[in-house]
Amino acid sequence: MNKSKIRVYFLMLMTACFVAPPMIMNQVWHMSDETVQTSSVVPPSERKSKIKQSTSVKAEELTSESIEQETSEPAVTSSTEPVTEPPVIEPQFVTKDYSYFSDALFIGDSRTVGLRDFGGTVAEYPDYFCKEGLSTDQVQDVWIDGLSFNYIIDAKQYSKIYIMLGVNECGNDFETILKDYRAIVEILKVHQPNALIFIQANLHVAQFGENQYVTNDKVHQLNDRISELADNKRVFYIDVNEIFDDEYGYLSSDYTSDGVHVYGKYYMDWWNWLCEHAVEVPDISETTENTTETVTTVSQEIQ
Amino acid sequence: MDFNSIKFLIFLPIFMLAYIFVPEKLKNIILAFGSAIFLYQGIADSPQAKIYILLFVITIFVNYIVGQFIEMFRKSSKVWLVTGILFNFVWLIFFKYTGFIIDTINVVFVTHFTVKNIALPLGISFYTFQNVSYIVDVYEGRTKSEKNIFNYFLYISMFPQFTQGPVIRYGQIARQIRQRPCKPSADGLKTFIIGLGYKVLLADQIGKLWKDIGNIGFESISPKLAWLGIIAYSLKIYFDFQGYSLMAIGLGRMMGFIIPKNFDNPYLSVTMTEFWRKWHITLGTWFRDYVYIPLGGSRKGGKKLIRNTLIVWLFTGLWHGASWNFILWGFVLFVIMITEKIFTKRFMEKFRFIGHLTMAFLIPVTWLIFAVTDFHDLGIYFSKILPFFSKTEYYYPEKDYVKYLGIYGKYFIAGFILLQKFPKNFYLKLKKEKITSVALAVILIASVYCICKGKSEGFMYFVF
Repeated sequence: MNKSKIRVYFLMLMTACFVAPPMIMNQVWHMSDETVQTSSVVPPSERKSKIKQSTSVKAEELTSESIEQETSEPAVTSSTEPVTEPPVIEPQFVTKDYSYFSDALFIGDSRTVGLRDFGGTVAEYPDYFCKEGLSTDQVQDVWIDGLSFNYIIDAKQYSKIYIMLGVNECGNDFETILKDYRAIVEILKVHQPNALIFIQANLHVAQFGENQYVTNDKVHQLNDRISELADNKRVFYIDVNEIFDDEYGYLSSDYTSDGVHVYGKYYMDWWNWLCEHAVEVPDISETTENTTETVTTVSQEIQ
Repeated sequence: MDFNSIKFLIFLPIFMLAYIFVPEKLKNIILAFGSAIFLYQGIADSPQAKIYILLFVITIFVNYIVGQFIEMFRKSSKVWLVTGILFNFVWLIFFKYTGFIIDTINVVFVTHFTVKNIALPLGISFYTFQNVSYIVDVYEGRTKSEKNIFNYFLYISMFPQFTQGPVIRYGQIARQIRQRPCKPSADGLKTFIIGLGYKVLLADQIGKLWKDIGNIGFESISPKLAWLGIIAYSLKIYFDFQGYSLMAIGLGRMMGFIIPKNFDNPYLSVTMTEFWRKWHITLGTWFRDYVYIPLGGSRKGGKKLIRNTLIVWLFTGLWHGASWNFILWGFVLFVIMITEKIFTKRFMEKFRFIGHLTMAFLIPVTWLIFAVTDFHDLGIYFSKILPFFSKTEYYYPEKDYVKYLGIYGKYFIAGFILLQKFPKNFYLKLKKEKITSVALAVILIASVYCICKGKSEGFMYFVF
C-alpha cells in the first residue's frame, strides 16, 4: 500500500473513532424516547374510591376554569359556561353475597368464559351459555356443550340473567346488533318471566388492543346504544369498566396483556363488583291477581 | 425484511432469477445489491435509518482498515487490534446496554438519570461479533486481511446471515466469495422451505400457548399448564431459531455458498455441556475462540477454568439480552456446567436415560429464566412448576390444561418427532423423490397462507 493511501486510511480511522461516535451517539440519544417508568399496579377493587374522587375533582376544575375564562373575557357570558351534565341518579344497587348467583344464568362471549373459568367458588353458582367469539346473531343458532339457547331458557327458571355481548361484532352495523340484542331480551322476558335481566357493558379495550374492526370509541358507542335497552324495572344496565378503565377510558394496560381481556386474577374483582351491583329480586306474590310490581329499589332519570 | 414475510418471499425469486442468470463474475454484485436492498428494507421504517446506514458503512470501513493496519504494522498491531475491538464494542454497548446500565445505576444508587429506549440497529449483535472475529483472526495470523473492500462488505452484509447469524468466520467464507464451492442448487430451496415450515407452521403455532399463558397471567394457571407452557416455549425457541438457521443455509446453498450449521439436535443431549455445543453452535465457538481460550481456557488450572467459564456464561447471557434475568440465566447455566464437569458428566454420558431425564427438566426450566424478564413474575412461575414451594394466592382452574392440550397437542407431538434425528435421515433418503417435492410445496403453500393470515410472528433472535 502506498503512503498516501495509508494516510487516507489513517485519517478515516481517526475520524471514525473519535469524531463520529460523539456526533452519532448524541443524535441517537436525542431521537430516542424515554422509557416509561412502571409504577406498581393498583388492584381494580381499590380503584373505585379513587375514581369517585377524581371525577369530583374534575368537576371542580371545570367550574374554576370557567370562572377564569369569564373574568378574562367579560363581554362573553353564557357561551363560556361549561356544559356540565345534569346529575345522574344512579340505580339503587345492593350488595349480595355469592349465593345471589345460584339461580342465575350468564350469557356471553370470551369474557364470560373468563368469569366462569377464573371465578373460583362464586363461578360455580350460576349456569352459563357462553363461548369465545359469541355474538348476538349466533345466540339462537349455536349449540354449546350440546345445549341450545332455546333449550336452556325453557329447561330452568332463573331469577337473574346476565348478558354480555357485542364487542365481537363491533365492526358490523349497530342497528343490526341492537335488533338482535333486543330480540334476545324479549325472548328472555317471555320464557323467563321472573328473571331480572342485567345487560353488562362490553369491556373496553386497551389502546394497543384496538384493530380495524374494534376500536375503543366503537365499544363506548355500542355500550351507549345497548344501555338504551334498560328500563330499570326488569332490565338493568351495569358497567364494570369503572374498575378497569384508565384516565382516558381505555382498558388500563395494568390489567391486560392482550388488550381485550383482563388477566385471570382480575375476574374475582369483577365478580365482587357484580355482587355490589345486585338488585333485590321482587317477591313473586302468592295471589295471581297481584300484578303490581313490588320493586322498590330502582329509580333513574333518563335524559 | 423478515424471512417469513410476504415482502421477502417476493424479493427472493426476483433476486434468485437475477443471480442465476448473471455470469459468475457479476454474481457478487447482484448479491451486494440484494443485500443492500435487504438491509435498507429492514430499517427503512425507523426514523434513525440514515444514522444506521452511516454507522454500518463506517463500521465496515473501520474493520477493513484495521485489518490491513494490523497486518502491515506488525510492531503496533496490538494498538490497532485494541482500537478495532473497542470501536466495535462501544457501539454494541451504546445501543444495547446503555438503558440497562443507567437503569441499574438508578436502582442501586437511588438516582434518577434519564433512561432512554434506544432502538438496536438491525443485526448489530451478530455483525459486531463477526467484525471482531475478523480482526482477531488477522492479528493471530489465522487469516490474511481482505484487501478488497467490496468483498469485506459482502462478508458482513450478505443477507442470508445478516439478521440472525450464523456467526460466520472470515476464514470460512472468504474463498467462497471469490469462488463458490458449489453450483447454485435446488437443494437450497428445499432446505429453505423446511426452515420456513419449522418457523411458521410449528414455532409460531406452539408459541401461541406461551402467549395465551401470558394473557391469563402466571398467577391463574395450574402447575400442569405451567409445565406445558415452558415445554411449548422450549419447542418454540428451538424451531424458531433452527428454522431461521435452515433458511439461511438454504439461501446460501441456492447461491452456491456453504454456510455453517448452527444446530445439531441439541435437545437430544444428555448434559448441558453437550447441549451448548449443539445449540447456536457458531455463538458457542465464538465465545470459545475469542474469550475462553484467550483467557487461558482450561490450561491454567482449576480456578482459572472456573473463572473463565463464568466469564463466558455471564457474557453469553448478557449477549442475549440487556436485562438481569439474562445474567441470572447465564449464571445458572454456568453452575450446571461446572457441576457437570466436576461431578455428573461422566455419569450422565454413561447412563444416557438419566441424562435425558435430567435435561428434560433442565431445558425448560432454564428457558423459563431466559423467557421472563420480570423477577416477580419469574418467582410466580417457579412457584407453579415447583408447587411444593408455593402458596397459592390466586385461584386457578385445575383442569385448564385439558383445553390447551386439545388445541396444541398436535404441535407438541410434531415438535417431539422433529427434534429427533430420524426425520432428517428420512428426508435425506427421500430428498430426490417426487413425493418430497410435493410435500415441500404443501409446506410452502401452508406457510404462505399462515403469513398472509397474520398467523406468523417475528423471529425471536431478531431482537438480539
